[in-house]
Amino acid sequence: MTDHATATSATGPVPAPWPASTAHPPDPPSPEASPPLGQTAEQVRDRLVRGAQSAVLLVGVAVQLTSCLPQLIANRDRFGPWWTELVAFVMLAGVAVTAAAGLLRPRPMPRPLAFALCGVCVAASALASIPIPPDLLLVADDWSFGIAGWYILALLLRMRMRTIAAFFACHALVTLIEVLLKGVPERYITVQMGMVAVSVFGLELAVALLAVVLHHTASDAGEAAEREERTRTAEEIAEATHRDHQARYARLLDTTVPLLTGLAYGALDPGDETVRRRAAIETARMRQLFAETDEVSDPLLHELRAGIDVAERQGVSVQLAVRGEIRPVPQPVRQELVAAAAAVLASARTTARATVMRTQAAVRVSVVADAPAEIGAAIDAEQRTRTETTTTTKNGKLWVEAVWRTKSP
Amino acid sequence: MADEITVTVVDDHPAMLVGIEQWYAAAAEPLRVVASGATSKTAWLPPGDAADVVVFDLQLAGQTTPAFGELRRLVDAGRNVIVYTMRDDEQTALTCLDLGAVTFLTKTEGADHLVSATLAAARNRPYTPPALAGALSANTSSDRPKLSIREEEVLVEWFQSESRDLVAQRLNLSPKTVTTYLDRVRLKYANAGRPARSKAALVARAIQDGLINVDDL
Repeated sequence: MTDHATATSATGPVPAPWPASTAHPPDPPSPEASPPLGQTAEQVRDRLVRGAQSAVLLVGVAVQLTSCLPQLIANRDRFGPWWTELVAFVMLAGVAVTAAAGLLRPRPMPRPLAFALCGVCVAASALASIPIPPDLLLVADDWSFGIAGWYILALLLRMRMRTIAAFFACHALVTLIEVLLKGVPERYITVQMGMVAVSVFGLELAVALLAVVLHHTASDAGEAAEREERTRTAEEIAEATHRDHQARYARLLDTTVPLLTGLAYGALDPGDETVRRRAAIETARMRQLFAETDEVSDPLLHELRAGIDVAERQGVSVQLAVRGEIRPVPQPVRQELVAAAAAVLASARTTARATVMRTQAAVRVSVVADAPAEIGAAIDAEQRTRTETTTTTKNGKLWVEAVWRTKSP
Repeated sequence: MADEITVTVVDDHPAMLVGIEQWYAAAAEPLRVVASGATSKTAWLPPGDAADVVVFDLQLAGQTTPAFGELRRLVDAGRNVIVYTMRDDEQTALTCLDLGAVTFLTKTEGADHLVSATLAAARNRPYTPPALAGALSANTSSDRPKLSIREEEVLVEWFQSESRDLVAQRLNLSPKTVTTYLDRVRLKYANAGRPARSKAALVARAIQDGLINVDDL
């Protein structure tokens, strides 16, 4: 047994033997972090619908205060029990206050509550018209008929047209039953009632239709906003990646250029083992840079293959084994994982085994090769922020494993 | 020789057959190929039908799909089958194990693994080569046996390094303990899924060897 040591890379301020990238682009939005598709659209829609609901509610409140209230006072001694009208008025006012409070909350009102309030509106309308004689139903003296519809509209505006129409139908049915119970008045009054009903429901349904149009517009606007946001993010990532690449290409100047000039002027001997290894490492680093810009479905493996190519060209037999499903790995993490593996591959003498292991908890890239132990020491000394590296040497074998943990074990 | 282990090899590459015979001949233990051929018929007809172990290539000539059906029939007949294949994906490995293959070897894993696996198969002892360990480690199916953290670690490190010594050093264990962990994982798998004689023999042998207790099951 020869030398052996196991070390976990220190992440302290150790000067790197070869430049590690420091200017990382921001992590591309990982699927967990990015907002679920349609969230922006949903926000836009919510804002628009809330605005429409507030407007309709305002109309309702205005009608109740300027038209219903004077009529209520005027009705005081005209018909039978006035208190039913008074209770209905308070009930409707209560609905208005609850709806307003609901609009001020960040979350939309729960459906059951909205439906219950609509029920209260219909009930209040029926209650208020109990003392009204049949020939005065639905006209100005029956102040509760129109107002209930406005509040129902304000409550249900974010729901489907069908739901709104169903509640209006319910309201109409209750009114119809009331008319039938009290006795159908003369024909011309009945016709008048019908005209009032048609104009009131017609107006309210028209507003509901507008709301449907608003829904569609909101979705379109939301999608447009989302597209714009995605484009902006992609642009920013591309920009940052580009800066990172430029920085790393620039850093090649410090390592590759001296090697090339040394070779060109004969200062370095290509037959020398160390020179050859330096050349191999430089090649691996450049290959990784080239590979990063390629569009491939499995970028991690693609970048690792670049390192394997370099080793194979030097006559090293490399065995690659991959386990686990492809999962997104942010570019800076990928770079750290592949950099360690590529350095070992580039220094292998005859054989190497490279593996990629992807599980829910971690992504691991490992290389075992007959590479010099100094390479392991150099990898240990390198600074890493996103991954952990462990090196083990035994019987002339160097084993480097880089792990990106996504979940604590 | 009484202790000689006999093997039937089913593989459609003549060079492969010659190579495997050579590997066995060069092994320290007495191993002999008694029959070899390109189809599973070899394993059903004398002299191949009586061999202790069947080395089975999953991808045979003229077939587009892996020969899972053939494998199943051999296992159901009580044969000890080692799947030896070019296929390197975890799903194939897990399927073979579930069907009752004694072990799963890829052709990139060389002579040492095949000889060790054959010896283990003939003696009903578990053997988990690195490729299989990787597959077990990456297994995400819902019926996957529950493994301890240590067992998971040993699987991953064994898959990555292919060296018991390196795994032992990395995890501060003895190489023997590494093997024990691998065997226990293999037994957990033998105890799950579809029953097969080979699986039962594996578990029975492990109890005799003191590798697991009856209570562990």
